[in-house]
Amino acid sequence: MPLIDRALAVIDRLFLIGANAALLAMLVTTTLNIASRAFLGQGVVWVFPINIVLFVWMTFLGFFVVYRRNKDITVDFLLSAMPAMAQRIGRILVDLAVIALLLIILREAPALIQRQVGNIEMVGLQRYWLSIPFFVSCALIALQFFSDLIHALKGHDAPAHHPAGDI
Amino acid sequence: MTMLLFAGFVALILLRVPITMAIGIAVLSALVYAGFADTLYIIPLQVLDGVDNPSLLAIPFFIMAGNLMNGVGMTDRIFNFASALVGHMRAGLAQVNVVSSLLFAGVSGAAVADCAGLGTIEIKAMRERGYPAPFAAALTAASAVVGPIIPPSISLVVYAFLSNTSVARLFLAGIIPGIIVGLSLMAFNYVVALKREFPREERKSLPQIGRAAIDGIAALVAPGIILTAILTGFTTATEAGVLACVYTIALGFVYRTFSFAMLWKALTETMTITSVIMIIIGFSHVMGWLLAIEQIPQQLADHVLMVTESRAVFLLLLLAFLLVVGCFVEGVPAKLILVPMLLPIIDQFGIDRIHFGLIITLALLIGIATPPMGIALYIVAEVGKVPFEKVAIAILPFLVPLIAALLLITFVPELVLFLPNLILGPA
Repeated sequence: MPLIDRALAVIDRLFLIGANAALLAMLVTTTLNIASRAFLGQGVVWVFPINIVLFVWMTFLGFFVVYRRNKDITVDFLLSAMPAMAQRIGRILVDLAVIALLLIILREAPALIQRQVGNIEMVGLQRYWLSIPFFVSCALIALQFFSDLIHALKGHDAPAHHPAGDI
Repeated sequence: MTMLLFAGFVALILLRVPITMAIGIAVLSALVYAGFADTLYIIPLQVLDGVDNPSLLAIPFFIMAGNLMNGVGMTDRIFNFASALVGHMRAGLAQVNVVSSLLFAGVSGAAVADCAGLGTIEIKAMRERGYPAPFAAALTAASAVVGPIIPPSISLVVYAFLSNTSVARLFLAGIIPGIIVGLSLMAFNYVVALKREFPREERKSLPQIGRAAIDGIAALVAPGIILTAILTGFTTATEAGVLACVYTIALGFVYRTFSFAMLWKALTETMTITSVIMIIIGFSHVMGWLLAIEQIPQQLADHVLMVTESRAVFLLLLLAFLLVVGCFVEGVPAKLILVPMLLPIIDQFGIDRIHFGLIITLALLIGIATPPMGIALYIVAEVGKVPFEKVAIAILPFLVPLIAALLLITFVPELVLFLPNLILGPA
């Protein structure tokens, strides 16, 4: 398990850098587009399609980062009021349910990728490149929950939860 | 199928399944039950379809604008300006707290940036002047409700996407309701101060107010830039969010508070919150698809119309329902599930979709300040170093002005529709 944990920690760092870079690139290219329209009288046509791709990638790379850092929203009050054993059983059930969902999604990856044909206009990539980071994140999150399952079975404490917050 | 979907979802979130996964598992079960077991690629397909959506591109930038404002230190200047304006009033710093949130709301699209940024300053200042810490923290959480009502607002961008309405119209519609929420909290502070003898700050002279205004003017200009850019058609909503970010970064250079570490922190916080929102949107999109295929919204509309044909009764029932939902489910996922279900009913009762957008946004937003799931309570408890239980009790009286404002906005639609109809013409 320490090996998986360490590997996931490294990938988390890489995905964080990738997702932040995508966000920064969206900020810079959109600024360029506004400036070009304001001062040169015409926009930069490739900015919008590129930004859509960057936005999707940022979201899907961030998907793993969110779960690695326990940032998703959970309702804690009911299970927190339960005895320790019930909490542990709950944690194991949650881990199993999430792993099952993600494995089913991953099983469908080939079927979806086959359907996503054709170039993304002005970007040049095949459409399936939009969904690949999603499937990679699903696989990594399944590993993350598998690691947590092992920790739960060994009786280790659950990691602290830090929800990202509402809007 | 509907029972399986919703009962499953509720049971899963109560079991502490993360909300995205709870939606995913509930939808998966319902899909299998409804006979779609051979076409489960629908799940990743619909998730991708929900995320790959140009109309939601504005979300990260309105979040980032608030994070950058905190990072470059604009929050202190906003607080000082609000203090110069209303600090001398009864319960001075409590009023400053509300006015600061109103001003900050014009830049940030998320409540969480208000709580985390302004909250730290506000709670510390109020404690030092003798206000009970739970009161200060609870007021900060209550005033954060204003953030996503006053434009720009991520919550309204999401609603526009769900209801096929104009972002510009919704942004304009949020201004008066936001001010009403602020005024109702200020009136409540005044009444509380009559009993509890809260201190007043020294009245500032006109030159002092002027200096504070000059100091804070940069922040006050930001909402004007955003709204003008959108309304004049110079930029899209997304580009207006980018302009707000660039403007704030420029202020960081002017004030010499910009650093790459600060930018990285703002990027990380923005990316994390955006990813959570977008992934929830993605998975909710699958749920929406399934509900539409099974014609659940139409069936629900028929059932509701059998219960009551009175618009007022329906609105009261709706408010009660939304307030309860808001206590347990966060605003965005609740909206993603409920809006497609409720829109046919709203249309049947002849309620304007813009008006409904503000009703559902405010009703669910009040949930951020209500126990047990109010995220604003957790944040203010953490930044204010106040036990959560004490904040959860102290917030209860603040629900009175918030719900009063909600009732006013619900039953006087003109308060919502006046500005968009005046500036953009009737829909």
